[in-house]
Amino acid sequence: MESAETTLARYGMVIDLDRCNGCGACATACAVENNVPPANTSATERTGLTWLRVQRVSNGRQFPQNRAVYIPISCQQCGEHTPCVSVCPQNAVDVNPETGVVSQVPARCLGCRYCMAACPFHARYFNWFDPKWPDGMEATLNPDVSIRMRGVVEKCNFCHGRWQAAKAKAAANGARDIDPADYVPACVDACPEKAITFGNLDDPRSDAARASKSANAFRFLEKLGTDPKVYYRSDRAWVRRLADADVTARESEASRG
Amino acid sequence: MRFEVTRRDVMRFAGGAAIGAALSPMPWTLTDDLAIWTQNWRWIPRPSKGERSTATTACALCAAACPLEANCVGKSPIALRAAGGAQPLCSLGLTGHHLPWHPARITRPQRIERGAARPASVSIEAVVRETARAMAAARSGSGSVVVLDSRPDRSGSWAWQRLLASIEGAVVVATPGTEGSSLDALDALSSDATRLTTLDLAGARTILSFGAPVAEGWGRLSECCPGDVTLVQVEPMRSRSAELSDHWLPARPGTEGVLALGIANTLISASLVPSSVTESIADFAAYTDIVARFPLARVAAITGLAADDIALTARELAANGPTVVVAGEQPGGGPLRRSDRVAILGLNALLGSAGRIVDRAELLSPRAGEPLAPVARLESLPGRSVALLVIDASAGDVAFPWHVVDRKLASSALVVALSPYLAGTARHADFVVPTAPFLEAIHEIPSSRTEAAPALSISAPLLPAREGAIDPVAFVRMLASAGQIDLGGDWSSTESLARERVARIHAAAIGSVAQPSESASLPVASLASADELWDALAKGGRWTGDRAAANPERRVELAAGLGVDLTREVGAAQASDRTLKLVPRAARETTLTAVVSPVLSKLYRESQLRRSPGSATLSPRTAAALGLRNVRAARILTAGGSAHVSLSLDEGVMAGVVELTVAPDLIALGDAARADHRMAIDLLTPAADGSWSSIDAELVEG
Amino acid sequence: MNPRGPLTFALGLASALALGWVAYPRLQYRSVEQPIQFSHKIHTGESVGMTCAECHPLGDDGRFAGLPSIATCEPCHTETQGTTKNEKHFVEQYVTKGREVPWLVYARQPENVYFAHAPHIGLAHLPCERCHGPHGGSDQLRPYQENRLSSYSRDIWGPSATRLARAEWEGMKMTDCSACHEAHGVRESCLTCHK
Repeated sequence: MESAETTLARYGMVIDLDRCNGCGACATACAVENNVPPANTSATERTGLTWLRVQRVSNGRQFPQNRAVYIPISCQQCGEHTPCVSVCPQNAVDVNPETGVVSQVPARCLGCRYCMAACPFHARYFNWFDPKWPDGMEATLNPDVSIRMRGVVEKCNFCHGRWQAAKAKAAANGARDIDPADYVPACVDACPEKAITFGNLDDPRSDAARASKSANAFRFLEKLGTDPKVYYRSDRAWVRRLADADVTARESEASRG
Repeated sequence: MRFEVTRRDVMRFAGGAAIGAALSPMPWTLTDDLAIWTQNWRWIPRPSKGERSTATTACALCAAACPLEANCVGKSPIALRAAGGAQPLCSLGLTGHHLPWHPARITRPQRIERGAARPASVSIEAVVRETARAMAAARSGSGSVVVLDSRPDRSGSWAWQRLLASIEGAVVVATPGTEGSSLDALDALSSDATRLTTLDLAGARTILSFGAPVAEGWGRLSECCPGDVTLVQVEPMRSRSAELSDHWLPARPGTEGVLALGIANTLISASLVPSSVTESIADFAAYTDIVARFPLARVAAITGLAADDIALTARELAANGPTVVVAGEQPGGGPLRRSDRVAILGLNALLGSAGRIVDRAELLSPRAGEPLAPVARLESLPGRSVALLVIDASAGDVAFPWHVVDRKLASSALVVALSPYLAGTARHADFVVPTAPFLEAIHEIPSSRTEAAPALSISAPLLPAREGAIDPVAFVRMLASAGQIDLGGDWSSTESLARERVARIHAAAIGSVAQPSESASLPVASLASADELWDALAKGGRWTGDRAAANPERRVELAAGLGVDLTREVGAAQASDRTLKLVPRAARETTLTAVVSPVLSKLYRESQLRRSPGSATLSPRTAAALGLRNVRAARILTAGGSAHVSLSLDEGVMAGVVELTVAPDLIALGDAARADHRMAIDLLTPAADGSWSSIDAELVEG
Repeated sequence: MNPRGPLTFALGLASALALGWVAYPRLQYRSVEQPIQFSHKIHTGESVGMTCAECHPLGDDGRFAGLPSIATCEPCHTETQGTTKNEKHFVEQYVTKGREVPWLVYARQPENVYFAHAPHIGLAHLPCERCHGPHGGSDQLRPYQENRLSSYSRDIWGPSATRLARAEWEGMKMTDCSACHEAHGVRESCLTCHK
């Protein structure tokens, strides 16, 4: 039998922070695509479940010079020393060599949350509650993504169900490699400002690879050396200076003190 | 032999059993099964399996009528997206398929007894009987009958007008805060008051917007002005439109009209107005007198803007024409005060774009030549005069403070609502008639007042209607037969009336249909039958008629409309040092619907992207001045009452202003209704002209 | 030596073996009859001569249709074919009423598993029998066996409790998938087969 070699890809995205206006459509589309349940009534920002969370960070100046930047943060898909992979006692996390996507198999997860502590981007979420939809709304669930139970960790996987569907489509026609047009994560699809460019970073012809090398592109916490595959770009210097900050904590600091 | 079981026997037996068990598959499979068992709790929902298909229809959740494509499993939508390269959907549209299962959904008529803990189910016959009785009483002079219509120009709206034609004084009124209702002020300005007018945004190079969510689907800006348009947004807060604008002028709430007059002052004193202006503004001399009272320095002091910014804006408006100036509804904030709107809309005439004030080409009604009750404005109704109020929220809801309507109701008034949900405005009714939500029934999406050309989309159902849902047009028929009113015709449902209208459009052969994933529009004249037109519309197409011609002869009168309050009261001292300006805040789409998907809790509850329902935000400096720097829970006091709010601080809020998130409320987000639940928007008390865009409020700890 | 000692031990051993080998496997699964007795043999046999893909097609979009809907059966079964009670029941209860048959799927994988037929058919060119055995020639539908604890189909574990001496197609556990993938050099990671 022939060998099953496919072209290896390293999927990533470049998010243009100057285009993002904080409408939240990406986060909504993500929850719909990935069967993320509505918040439990006692859920808070800390116990919430959002594979993609849009952080609002202000420039700290007074009104009307005050400006905000909206930063969509999902799993940054670290390629090197992937912190969550190295700490998982359960082998529930790995890096898919075919896509570069950091996986999370919730059925295998035992809920120790070590990976959450290890993740520098706070992009992993724990199921503090049973997944619950209003009666009948189960009919709207996406069969391509499994439902996670209480007590396990989950996170963004670049809409892996869509990659699998693209892969199956290619395979049905005898091809090993997918058509890039068939694999677009839900957030990218939903952005009304076309702020997110997605593609194979190893393919020099892809828009994402080009955008990731453009001037004013940066990654968060690059100094940690985890080689994230989610890039950001902004022409505003104060926004680029956020790269070394923990933006997930800034909002409450800015508003409180 | 005596058989005595000894401890040793038990041990031997157990030892044998242990070895035997280990040699059988039981412990190994049991371990495997148990591990799997812990991963498959029966209360974890499972997605349904079935054949995949796609279907297209139009989104009925706002007037933009985005074409959408639904991914279905076994005919039930699991995801919605924009069809054929159209502008991507908003958060509300993306989750539209969740709404039929919203916890607030009702499928039986409800009676809400004042003071009762929870509503009770009643029969539809009882609702019809009570409503018909109130209607008969109104006919014999006990008060008037009013229908609040959240989406005017539908076939359903026509059916109400037809029903009320036989009742003297009965009127249909657009729900307060309906998009485009600010433009009412244009009608009154116009020399020809019999014609409805609107603003034509097409071809504009600069748009000066006072609070209108122009960048969020209002007036379909992206379609009428693609590409190079400069947007100047005047708004006290950084809304999404302000965020997307080229220039943002954060004028103090309530000073928008003054800013408009300041801009007019600059334009006139710098001779930036065309010479024809003396003709297009009939009372130009009187208008100039008023404008002269607003020199730049005074306007800058009142609005809190830099005089240079105002002057620069005025020059830019004159230089970078054609310019359209719109006074819109801030989401959740409704229209600005009437005199402010006159000052703002009058700028259009001053800038020489009187031609942009166009006659509004009307959408054909479903049937021609039948007697109809008039369409009126709520402000024109006398107080305490309404004996029967029908809230038609079957096609959407509008967030507005109940006070606006409540003061028009007679003490014994009956309020009947039509809505798929026991949420939003319907919660104020005595009876709620369940209608079918988006995706479960035909919904018509006619053009709103913000569009210059008439348009129509049909949202075809993708799901079977749940039992119990009552068609609003069928309800009109029920009322007619209970009240022995002859309506003529054999129409009996929204669909039958909508089909009649589509047949009329087809017969008149006007306009064309834009279809998703087709670049060219389909002229109606090229369609062989009305059914073909219907099918094109039901698959997400949008019919657009002919744009009304601009009328360069139009003359407007401004001075009278500017009124006393604007010229005298502006800048009056605040009631006390503790008084803040309360500004309602919400995302546009959430103010046009009674409920949103509970999944939007991702934006409101599980992240800080949007302020949670009922929360108040003010700047740290204001909070410090009020001694609320470290306070999380506060009480907000307005003339309309008081409520507990959670307080957050944000440097992005204007000093002296408190922003209150008014939509979606907790019930709209899917929380269980509590008997003492009060919607945040009901805290707002309207001004005499019915506007509530900013009001005085106090914040105290506790 | 008192024979009671070894006897008690043997008794314990025997009862545990009986429990583990005979009683437990019976307790472990619940048998459910299929709603209709369907004969693959009649359909794939010479007189009708259908292929698997006629009712279980793989779409161009890579989605495997799974079990056919009633619309697939309708063209031939609007009228009763033959005289069996089963056929009469099928036509009256399902075809005429347009109801779908609630088949129980032997090969249904758990919720957290992603399996696509497309790569196995389109790339690996596996015949259906490789994983489904001679199901296509069966004359009777065997009862569906559901694990009482995990609620998985018995076909996941396979018919043999020991998983020894099984046919190639028996058993669909993760290790079975992996073994074949490994043998054929398929690159694997968690998300290759999980969702």
